[in-house]
Amino acid sequence: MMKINKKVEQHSSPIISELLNKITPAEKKRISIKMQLAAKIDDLISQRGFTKSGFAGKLGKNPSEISKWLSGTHNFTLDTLVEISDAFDISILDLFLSPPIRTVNKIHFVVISEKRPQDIVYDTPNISSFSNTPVKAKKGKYSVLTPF
Amino acid sequence: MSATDNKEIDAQLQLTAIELLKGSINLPSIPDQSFTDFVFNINLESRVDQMKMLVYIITDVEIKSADQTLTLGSLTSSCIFKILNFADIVTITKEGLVDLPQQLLDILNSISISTTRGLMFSTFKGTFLHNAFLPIIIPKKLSEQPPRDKP
Repeated sequence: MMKINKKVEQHSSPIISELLNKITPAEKKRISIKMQLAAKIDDLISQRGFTKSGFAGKLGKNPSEISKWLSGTHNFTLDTLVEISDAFDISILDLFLSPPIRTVNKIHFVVISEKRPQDIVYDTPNISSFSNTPVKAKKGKYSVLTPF
Repeated sequence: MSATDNKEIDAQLQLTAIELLKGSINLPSIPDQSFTDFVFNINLESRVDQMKMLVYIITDVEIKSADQTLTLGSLTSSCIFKILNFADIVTITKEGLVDLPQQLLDILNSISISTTRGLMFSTFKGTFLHNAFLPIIIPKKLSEQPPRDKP
């Protein structure tokens, strides 16, 4: 699903924008849900360790039908969705839910600061001596992060 | 740390938001008490939203007196990072679990701690906690500690 999102984000052109503008909001929503559902089924197939043909066999379907489902254009019937959710042993509603936000790491630590001077000491040298003259960066390898 | 963790990671990061979630200050009613030594209880929690390609680092700092009997203040912040190349960096296991590289986690934790240090300074300046700024924390040391809770 992430790869699909990434590809969608990367592709844009005036022609695509023009075509997208012709689509009604209701149609956009329908397409979005279909694509998300297809991506969810694709994720579930790989998460459960199925191959597409193995999954097709489990449902008694032709592998080409599974490919059509995963294309994001298929209009699923309720019966098919029940079959799919049964095959994954999940609720039919789970097919429409986004993956939860997961906690991946927790750290606890204690830091002790001792003998900190109580008076504020301004040790920065004379600020007025700083000029706005640009300083040429030294040669070297710099990693560039995307600016906020 | 596995051998793969030692490889340089090329994460394209964007800091999308800094949120101040909670802040408190509590001056104990002890006459002529001055505070120069502090103990910082720090909790760092990383959450991942794979749909939005976001990592949330929630930093919770509790400032205690040197003998740890008094809680003098606290601050909780959240730094929200977007990983533009999420699919290349983050691994989702077959069970749907998220595996964030330790190196990336160290970077994000380090940025979050530094950001929280700044938030603490601007929140507590002019109060009796003016000098209670977070000491320098080496991110490498954090990953050497065993996690308190397994998610």
